[in-house]
Amino acid sequence: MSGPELAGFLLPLGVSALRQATPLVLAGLGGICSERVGIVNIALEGMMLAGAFSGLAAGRLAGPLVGVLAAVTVGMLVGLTHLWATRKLRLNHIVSGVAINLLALHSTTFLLRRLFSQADPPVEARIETMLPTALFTGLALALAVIFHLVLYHTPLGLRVRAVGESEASTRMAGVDTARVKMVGLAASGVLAGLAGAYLSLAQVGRFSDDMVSGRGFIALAAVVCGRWTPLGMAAAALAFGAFDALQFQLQGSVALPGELLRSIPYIATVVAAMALQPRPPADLGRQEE
Amino acid sequence: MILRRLAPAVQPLLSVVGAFVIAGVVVWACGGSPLEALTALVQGSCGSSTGLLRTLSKATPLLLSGLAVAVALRAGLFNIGAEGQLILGALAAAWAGHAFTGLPAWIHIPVCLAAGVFVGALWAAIPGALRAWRGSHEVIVTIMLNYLAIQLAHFLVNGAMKDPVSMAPATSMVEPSARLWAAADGSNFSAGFGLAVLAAVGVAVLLRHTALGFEIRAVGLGADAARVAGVNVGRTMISAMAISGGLAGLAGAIEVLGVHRRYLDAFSPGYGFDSIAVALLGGGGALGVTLSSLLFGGLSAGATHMEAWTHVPRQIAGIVQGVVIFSAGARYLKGRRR
Amino acid sequence: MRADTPPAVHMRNITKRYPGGVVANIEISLTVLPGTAHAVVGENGAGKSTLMGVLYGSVLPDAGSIEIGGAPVLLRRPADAIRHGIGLVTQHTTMIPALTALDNVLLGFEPIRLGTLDRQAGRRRVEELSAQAGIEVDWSASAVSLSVAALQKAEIVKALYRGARVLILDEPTATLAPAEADRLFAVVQGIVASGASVLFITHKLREVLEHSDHVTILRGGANTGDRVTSETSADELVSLMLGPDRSAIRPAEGPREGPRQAEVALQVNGLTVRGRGGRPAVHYADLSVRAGEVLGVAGVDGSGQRELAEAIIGLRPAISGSVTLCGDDVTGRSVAFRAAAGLAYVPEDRHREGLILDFDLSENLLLGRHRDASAGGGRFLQRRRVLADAERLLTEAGVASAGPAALASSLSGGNQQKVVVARALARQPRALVAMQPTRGLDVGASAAVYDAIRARTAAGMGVLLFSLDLDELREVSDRIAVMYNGRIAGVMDRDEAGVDRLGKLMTEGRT
Repeated sequence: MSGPELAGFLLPLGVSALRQATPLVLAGLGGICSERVGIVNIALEGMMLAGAFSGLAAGRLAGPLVGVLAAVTVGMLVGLTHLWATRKLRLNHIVSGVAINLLALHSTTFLLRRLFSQADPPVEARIETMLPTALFTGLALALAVIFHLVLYHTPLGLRVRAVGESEASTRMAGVDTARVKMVGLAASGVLAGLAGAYLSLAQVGRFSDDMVSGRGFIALAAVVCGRWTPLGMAAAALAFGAFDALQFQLQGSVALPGELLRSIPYIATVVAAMALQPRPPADLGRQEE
Repeated sequence: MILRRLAPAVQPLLSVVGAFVIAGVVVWACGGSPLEALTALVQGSCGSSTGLLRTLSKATPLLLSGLAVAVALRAGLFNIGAEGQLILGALAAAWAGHAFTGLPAWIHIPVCLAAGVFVGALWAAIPGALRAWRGSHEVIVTIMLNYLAIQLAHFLVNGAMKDPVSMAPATSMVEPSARLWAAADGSNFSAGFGLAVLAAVGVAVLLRHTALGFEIRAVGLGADAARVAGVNVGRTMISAMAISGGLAGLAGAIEVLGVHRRYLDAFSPGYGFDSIAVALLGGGGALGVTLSSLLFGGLSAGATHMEAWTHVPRQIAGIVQGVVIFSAGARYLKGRRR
Repeated sequence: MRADTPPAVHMRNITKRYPGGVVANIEISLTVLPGTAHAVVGENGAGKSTLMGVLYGSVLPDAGSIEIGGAPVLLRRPADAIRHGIGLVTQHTTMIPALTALDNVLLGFEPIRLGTLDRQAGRRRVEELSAQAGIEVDWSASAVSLSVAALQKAEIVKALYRGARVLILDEPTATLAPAEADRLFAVVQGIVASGASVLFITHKLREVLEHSDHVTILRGGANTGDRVTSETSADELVSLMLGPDRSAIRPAEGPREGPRQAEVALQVNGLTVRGRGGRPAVHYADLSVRAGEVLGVAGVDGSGQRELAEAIIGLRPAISGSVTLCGDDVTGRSVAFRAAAGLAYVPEDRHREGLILDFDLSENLLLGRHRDASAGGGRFLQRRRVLADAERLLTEAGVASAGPAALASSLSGGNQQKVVVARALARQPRALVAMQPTRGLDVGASAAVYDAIRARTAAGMGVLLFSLDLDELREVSDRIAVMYNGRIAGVMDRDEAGVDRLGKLMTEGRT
């Protein structure tokens, strides 16, 4: 490949990688916010879906910016629901996550049909004016850096890390741990909702059934591979995005099957979980007494 | 005495009723008639013999994968990976169904079922072993293995295992000798339902009457006490996951041999995920799981009918499921702590 | 002390009942004067830790009131207590292992500069406080790498950093070597001299007499006396702690009937075992339990008893050394193998390790014997046999229950322990390892537990009994070994085992 040819291959690849990685970074930050305060979050998928749908629904009515606001609000409510279910109902974190994912999937498809659809299938709702993806990409990358600074260099970050390691000890140190958890889960929902809004309002400009299609779980994978740190997670998410982009670029052209490229995040995560290198926060998943 | 035996059923029943009420409110809020919708739902699921058979056919994979989740749950493990195990089990059965020719049905069918069970068990033993040996959380690993299974199956049925004469991403049809008996009325009801009920009986016997089942329950309720008493906790976890995966694999195999007659890419509408709701509502016991699979099977069968007659989208059934997990899950896990 | 100075702390009629009916505190009153060291003494279970939890806001009392510096306060959470100048150093550290020592101290009370955590300012303040108190800690090290003594010092600075005027130390010397304990009390002296008060919990009378100004004695959840230390004596404190009926030193019982056979039931040679964090917790332990005898093991909590017991029964791998059961080497074998070979275990924590609370009694009694045909086990369980066996064991052990189908969680603590012991003895073991088998039990239940063990001992079972209670050990053991800092510091016959000698071995490793 000559120089210009290589550039012609790499440049769109890089752009596409960033576009694929953006929702992963946003949702991954949401995963960190939740898991760092001790709440297992396999509900990222559902939070993103709820955000994507509400963003598009509100966006159609009042413009895309209002849509983003709606996505973020709904995401936050879902995040707080997860907290409420695990703390007050004392639901197992996994059970609550599964329930939220199912509810989000089925209620968005239900509402999509009820509110927007005439034909079946395909069912989808569109929006005319889309937001620039670069806006979200820049925001996501900036947030990753900001979260790193917050986590390691601010009082809130110290409290978040402490709560995730041992809520009991943190309470004994005089910290209002319930508030820290609330902040964490609200932020988790906001970020996942934002990731959803990116998908529906910026990347494709429509909502279709199950459009998040597993990105929430890949974001969770990025959290695990990135050892629950914002920068590590962002690096993993960018790598996953690059594999995704590569697979689109290579589609049909090379012997390398797309399935293999798509599988890389999953394989990487199983290996990471096996190596035990990424130590999760010590109090992660602890049930309220 | 009778009251005491019924007591465990009270909360699941209440949570189901509650879920229906909430779904009714949703239907009403969206301008539908809850009563009409409910009537159509009941009509579709048990108003006719075809409806009834459809309910049973929908319940079959739910029952088996629900048992799968339940067995793991009894060992204190969350098998979120039933979907992946089911997919690979189905693929294995489809392969055995057309790769072996000239076998009599009484050999061919068991061979295909065994292939599904074996592959499902193997796939589920991976997270079990990683949990036992490395302490890796089974939830993360099973989620990832689900997606890996989906990609793997996708790859195979578009390549090496693809039916050369078909356009669809699917394997060749299985030999007639590998097909389960099925009703001809379009209900998709097959002998697989009987196999699923047998499996439920088997799980009940396993959990109540065998040493392995005893160990599984001991590890689930008190892993430390079990370890101190000499139970090999790691091996028990792996066994439980393997049995769980075998049941999910069986579910996939039966879908292939009884309904689709071949492996069709993306044939599962998420049985493996719905099974979590089935297991939680059923309280992790074989009888409870059977009853809750019938409920969800009926819901699924009736929802299509309801959608056709009342224009209430059938996804309302999924909303009922989600609410049930919330309320029934609170019940199941409250009494125990890890 | 002038009469018009309000007390630093005045707790009045504090009562606390735990769910399940255990009364930890009954109308306890306690007054701590400013600038004094105040000791709270009592046996295990006297209610000391609960009372301190109430003062720190981590335990909510059912009744009673608290005044700090003369003003009534409501302490609903630790943050409230901290705000009122109460600091607590718990028995087990609350320092979070993954954070640095400095971050642990600053947590919740972080100095801020431009919205960020000002670690430099924090470090200056922390170093200033530790210099005043005469404490040296590597503040940049993560807490996981600090020793128990260093963690405790860091915790003291943590409390001082929060402005503590009343510092509570819960059993501060339980896990310290004697020299470290002396250094700790030097720090306490300095804090008291600065005008603050120190409230320390202990059950060691020497510490009370040497290091406190006042002492409050608790027994069975009630306050049995407040004394000025200089006006009391060890004898008086003992009688207040133990009560009139127990204060007389019990005469040692005569030799028990039953054979004291010569052959060895359980032999431990040069056993070395890793503990938490990978450090060896047991060094070259040698023990020999003869058939028909009870070998007691004394020692301060955390001297390696747990690791030793777990290595003997096979729960924890040994780095080196061997375990021999009646002449058969079982080193490296599984728990199940050793159990089948005749080694039984009564674990320390009956709720977590002894029983499965959501199992019924027949299942709990079957656990571990579920592959044993004589108990109704085997690949397929024989339910009728399991139930009959359970019925028999429950009757023999005198367990008060609704029968084999009752859940283990429905039993009282004493009856739960009877079930644990009955299961351990059901296979007629040749050796038994028991960790504090009567912890938290009343007199009747304790007697029942020991009667059951004695009956088997008479038939030739050797017992290795770990306990923190010296009186108990001296009453039931034939010989007593002492563990100090992971080593067997000495083994002696019961007649030679005076409290002084045991105590010296336990705390210093030599006599």
